[in-house]
Amino acid sequence: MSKRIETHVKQMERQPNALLWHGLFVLIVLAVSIGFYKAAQTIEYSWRWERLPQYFVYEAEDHLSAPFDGEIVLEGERLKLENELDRDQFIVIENLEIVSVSDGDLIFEGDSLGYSSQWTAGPILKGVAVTIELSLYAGVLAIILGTLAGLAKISPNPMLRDFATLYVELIRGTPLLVQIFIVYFFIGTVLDLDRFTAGVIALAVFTGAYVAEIVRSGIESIHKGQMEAGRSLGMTYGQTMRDIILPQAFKRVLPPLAGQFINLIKDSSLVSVISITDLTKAGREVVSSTFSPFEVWLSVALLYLVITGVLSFVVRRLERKYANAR
Amino acid sequence: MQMQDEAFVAASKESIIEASHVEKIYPGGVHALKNVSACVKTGEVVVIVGPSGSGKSTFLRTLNQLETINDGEIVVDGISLTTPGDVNKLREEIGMVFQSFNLFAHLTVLDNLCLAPMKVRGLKRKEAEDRAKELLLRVGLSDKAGSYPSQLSGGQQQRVAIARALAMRPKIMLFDEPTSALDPEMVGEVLDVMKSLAHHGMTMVVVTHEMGFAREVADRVLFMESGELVVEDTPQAFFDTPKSERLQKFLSQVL
Repeated sequence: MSKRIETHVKQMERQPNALLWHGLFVLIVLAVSIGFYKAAQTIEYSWRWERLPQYFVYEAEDHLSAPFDGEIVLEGERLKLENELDRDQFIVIENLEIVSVSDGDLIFEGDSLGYSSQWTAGPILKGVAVTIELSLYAGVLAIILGTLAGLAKISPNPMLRDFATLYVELIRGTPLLVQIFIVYFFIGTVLDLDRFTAGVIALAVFTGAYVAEIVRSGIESIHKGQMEAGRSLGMTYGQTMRDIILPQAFKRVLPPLAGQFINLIKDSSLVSVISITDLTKAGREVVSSTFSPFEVWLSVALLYLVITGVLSFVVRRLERKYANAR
Repeated sequence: MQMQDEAFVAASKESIIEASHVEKIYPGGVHALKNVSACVKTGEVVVIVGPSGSGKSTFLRTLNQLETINDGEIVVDGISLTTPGDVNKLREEIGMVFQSFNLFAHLTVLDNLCLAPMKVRGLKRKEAEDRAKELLLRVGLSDKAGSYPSQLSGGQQQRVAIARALAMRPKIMLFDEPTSALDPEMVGEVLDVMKSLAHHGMTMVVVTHEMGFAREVADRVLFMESGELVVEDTPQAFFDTPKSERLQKFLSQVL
C-alpha cells in the first residue's frame, strides 16, 4: 500500500491516449444528436415534451356528487346537504380536499359537491407494470421448461431426447409473432385462455427453447469426471445431476441466461398484437392521443432500457456473489 | 497364459474381484481389452503397470462399471457385473480415485466428503461431518475443511479425493493413475497416504507409473500391453527376473 503504482502501462507498443479517444467519442455522439435535432426541425416537427408527464402519472379527481336535491346548510364548522322535502335526510360534506359549494347553495341530484385528488399511474406506467409482470411470469416458466428440455436433450432416454429436439427446433425455426398468433387464436380458443395467459405461455415456450440450449451446453461444459466421481460414490444419475452438475452448470450459464431474459423483456413487446396493453401498446395509444410520436417512442425505448439495465445490474451482482463463493 | 489360468483358479475361492476373459471393444472399433482374466483377494494390493494405451485404466474402470464390457465376466464382492442389477449398490462398496481428482468444485472440502455418505448412506449431517473430519485428520488436511478445491494444491486435492472415497467406508479402493497429474514434489504425500491405507489392510487395485510404489507396497504386479494381460507376478520376481521379453523392454524404458 505504501508505494503508489503507476496506472499507465509501460511497454514498447504505443498505447492509445484514452482521454483523447473518449473525448472524440463524446463529440461524435453530440454531433449525431444535434443532427437528429436539426433533421426534426427541417420537417417542422414541434416537440411537445410537456404533454407526456400526464401519461406517466396524473392527478385523478375523485368527485363527491349529490345523491338527492337539497340545500347546503352550515352547521357549526361543518357543511351539510339537507334534503328539501325530508329534513331528516342529510349528508355531511367532509374528507374532501376541495369543497366547491357554500352555505345556502341549492343543489340538484348529481351535482359535484367537491373532490379529492390523488396521484394515479397513467397508461405508460401501467404498461411498464404489465411488461414487467409478463416477463416475470414468462421468465419463471421458461426456466422450468428450459431446464426440463435441456435435461431431456442429454438424457439417456431416446424418446425424451426426441421430444426435446422437436421442441427446440420447432420453436427456434418459427417466428415469435406467428407463435403468439397460434397460441392466442388457436390454442387459446380451444382451451379458453385469456389474452394475458396466452401471451405469457407464448413467451415462455419461446424463451424456454433457447434456455434449453443454454442449459444443455452448460451441463455439457462440466467436466465428465464430475459425473464419474458422483456415480463412483454410489450416487444415482439424478442425485449427481441435482447436487453436483446443475449447481456448477447454473453458475456457468448465468451470463447467457441473463442475455436471454433481456431478450425476453424486449420480445414481450410483440404481445401487443393480441391487445395486451404492455409498454409498447400503451405507447401506441398515447401516440394516437397526443400526436407526439417522437417523444413517446423515445420515452418508451428509454423505459425498456431502464428495465433491461436493472436486470443486467442485478445479474452482475449475482455473478460476483457466486464468484466469491468459490 | 496356462500358468495364469491355474493361478486364477487356485485363488478364486477368496477373491473379492474376479475378472474372467474380459473383452472390451470401444464403439470406434478400438479393441481395448483382450481376454483379460485377473483376480484380487481381500486385503490384497494389486498394482497394474504398462505403457499408455495398454488398457490398464480401462480394465480398472470396468471393475466399478464406469466402462461396460463386451464379453467375459466380472464378479465383485459376489455380484456379477454382467447381470442386470443395482450398479449403485455395488459402487457404494468400491471407492475410486481419479487421475484428475474430480473433486466437486462448488463444494468445500468438508462438503465433498459429506455429500455421498449423506445422500447414499443416509447419514445425518453430524455423523457425516465427524467421519469427514476424522478422515481429513488421517490424510493430514484437518485445516482445509472449509477450503474450496481450487484453493488447494494438486497433492492436497488428491488426498481429499482419497478421503472422499474412504468416507463411504468402501471394501475396495481403485486408483486410476493417482499421481500422474501431480507436480513431482507432491507425488510423495499422496503415495504416503496410499501406503498407510495398504498397511491398514485395504483391498486396493492401483494403476500407476510409480514403479517404486509397486515394488514396495504391491502384493502382486500385473503388466498389461495393448489390451492383454502379459505378466502377473510378485513384485520381486516382476522387477528382478522379468519373465517376458515385452516386460523386460518396458522395464528398461521406465526404470
